[in-house]
Amino acid sequence: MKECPIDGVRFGASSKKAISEMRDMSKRANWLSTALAGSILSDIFVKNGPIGASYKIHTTDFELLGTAMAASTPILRRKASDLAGSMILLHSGSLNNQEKKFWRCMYNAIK
Amino acid sequence: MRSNNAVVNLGILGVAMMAGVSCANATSENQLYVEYEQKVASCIASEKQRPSLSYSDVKALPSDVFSVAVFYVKEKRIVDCSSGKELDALAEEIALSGTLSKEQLKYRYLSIGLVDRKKAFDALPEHQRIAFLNAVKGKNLETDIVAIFDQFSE
Repeated sequence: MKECPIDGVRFGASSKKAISEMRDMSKRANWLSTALAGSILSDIFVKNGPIGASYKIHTTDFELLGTAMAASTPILRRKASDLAGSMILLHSGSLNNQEKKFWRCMYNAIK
Repeated sequence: MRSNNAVVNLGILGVAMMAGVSCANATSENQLYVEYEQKVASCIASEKQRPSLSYSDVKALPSDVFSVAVFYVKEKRIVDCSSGKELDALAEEIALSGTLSKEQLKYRYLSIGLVDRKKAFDALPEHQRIAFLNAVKGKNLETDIVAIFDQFSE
């Protein structure tokens, strides 16, 4: 996949709503917490704590997510991919540049 | 017609859910749900046999129409293709699980998550909905949608 380092992404309201959906999805996929253990994406998508002020994410984090979702069910993978794609197509206007990159990297990792 | 029947059937099941069907505990994954997942995978594979959608197919459309319509139509095709298996699995899950909420089901069944996208699609002017459906007819939508979207702004 393309290089996806993102330094200091801050999530706004629409991203937080989408992250909340991803967290609901991950509750139904216990393996995701295992697959993402140690990755910053686990803090974002699996844990239930508040969304932090900013996150530094590496290409390898998205690669880990892509590998985990590839082993997932077709339904969950599709829902996660379409969620990321919808953020780009329908919410770009309300996203900062780092958020746009984040959802694009996620889409490319899962699609 | 098939999809309309599926919607009616799901509506009946929804009423049953709201009434709180009470039964035995659910197994972690029933066989009918496994068959539903397999059908979804099969429907996606069939869709991929078609020629993939490209920007040239949709470039005459406004990009906001593409944005609203594409994920809805992409999902609806798979929902229509797998509706029989979905209904069987959902009926089994309701019968075995007792009361269920929409939140519990929306990540397990494609049609349940389709409602909001349908509302947005239906809100588009009819001529734009028709133009979109004609543009993507016979084309594989299981492709890189974002890459096509990017070409609207190039």
